[in-house]
Amino acid sequence: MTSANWPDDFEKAVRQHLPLLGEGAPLTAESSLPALGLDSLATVGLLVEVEEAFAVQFPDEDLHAETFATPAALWAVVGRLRDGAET
Amino acid sequence: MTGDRTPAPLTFGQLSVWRVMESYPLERWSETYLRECVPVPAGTTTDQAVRAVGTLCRRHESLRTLFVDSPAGPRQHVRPAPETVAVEVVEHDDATTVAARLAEERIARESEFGCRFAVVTRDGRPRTVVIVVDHIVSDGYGLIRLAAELSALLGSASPTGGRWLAETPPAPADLAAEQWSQARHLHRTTVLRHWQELLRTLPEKQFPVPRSDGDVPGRIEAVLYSAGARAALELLSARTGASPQSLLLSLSAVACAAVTCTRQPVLTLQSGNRSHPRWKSIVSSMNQYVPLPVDLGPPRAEYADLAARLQASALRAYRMGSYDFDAVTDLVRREREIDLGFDHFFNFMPTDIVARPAAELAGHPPPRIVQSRPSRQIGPRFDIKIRPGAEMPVVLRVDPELLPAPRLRALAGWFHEQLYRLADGTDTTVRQVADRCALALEG
Repeated sequence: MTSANWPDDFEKAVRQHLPLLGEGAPLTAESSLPALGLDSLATVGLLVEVEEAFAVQFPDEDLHAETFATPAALWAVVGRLRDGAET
Repeated sequence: MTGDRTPAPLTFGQLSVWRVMESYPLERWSETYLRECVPVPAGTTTDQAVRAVGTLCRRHESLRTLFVDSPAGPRQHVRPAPETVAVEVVEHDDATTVAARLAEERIARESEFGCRFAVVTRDGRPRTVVIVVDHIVSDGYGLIRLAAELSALLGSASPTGGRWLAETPPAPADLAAEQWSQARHLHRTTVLRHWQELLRTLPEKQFPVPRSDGDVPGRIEAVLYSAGARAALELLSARTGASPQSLLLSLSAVACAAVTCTRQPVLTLQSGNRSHPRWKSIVSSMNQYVPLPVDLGPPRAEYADLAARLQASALRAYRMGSYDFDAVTDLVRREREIDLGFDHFFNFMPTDIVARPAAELAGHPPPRIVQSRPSRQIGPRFDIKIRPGAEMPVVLRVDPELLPAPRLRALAGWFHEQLYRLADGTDTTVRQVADRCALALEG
């Protein structure tokens, strides 16, 4: 796990889609993903990648801008979906 | 990078191009070819320009691939890089004329590579390299890479081209192997389920359109050039929080609804399928068509809410944008007994337009609308494309049977006016926007 409380795989997936985030710059829970370069094209890529990496599928009701606003918001949805899949 | 490869299945994008063009008359295939004119810097010799083209072809497998049919389906056959590449050297004042001539004749995919090159000279000095590609070889994004790399190879200042030249380019055959792999089985199944749901829930009259609808030639075009409309879009995006793409998508949905007289049109998005970093800059045809059902919703609803709703819908559609065209076609044939077709296109290409709260509505030159008969006379009957640039060209290409030239011009003007009226707060509801569009079309 990273200091931000999510797995390295998640951090790696998110970072890949943030062209404005410097290599060594921290990605915090409340970092603004759109401000770091997550445009609509990159959002699709991030969505597909996170779904595959964590074996979840985002329901339609989670596909809105707030889900992709910050790493914390996105990780919260992934966490909820994983918990749901395990029960 | 330069060797022979065993014939491989097509990528999903290549397969889409293959199938979509199958029903076009052969003599019209060349209308779909892409063209690019790359300036040659002063001091470059013709030999150097020809050698640069050769290097480009060695680097990108797509430029030396034959596409052949077989009992197992169409195949791509990457050939070794040839010692010399056919490059026409021609003296001419206008490179675009040369490009048009190079694109005139159909490329026989099974026996010739899907690209043509010319070095255009003036007074014996090379001025431009012309590239023409079959759409199965590259889409518009791939062509941007080819032009940038060629520009750098010719010695022009092209940081992007230079950066790409430092990389080993991704290969379409590798992408095909990934797309057809067992590891991607779940994704392929998920997409088919998505199409089944579309077929179950959308009215037969609206989705999908029969393939033959786009096969009747005859198209006209109007292009709106407006720096003011671009500024209005940036300001509106900042004010509403909706992306520039979704705002223009919503306007296009309103326009489509007005033109086709329905409140629930089904648009077709062109999914670039370049979201994964590994394939982002591949030279190949990645675009695939994805349906986007639209419901304009209650007329009194806030317009910004419609844009936000469409932003989410588009995300859902784009995630299903990479798919096996044949599997979907088979499904549609079974369920609806028609061949799959698409219409009502929307394609937003600019990545340079962003939300900008400080954008100024005043002080721009007046908008221009240029009408023409496009070289491509076949395909979708209603097609909206937004191009990058300071004047944000809004390209409207339609079948004149659907929208005659005067009404097409009025529609182009409506995009400009409507963006201003939304940005300055004059119009705020879906009804106001829909009514204004209808009024413009009556006009």
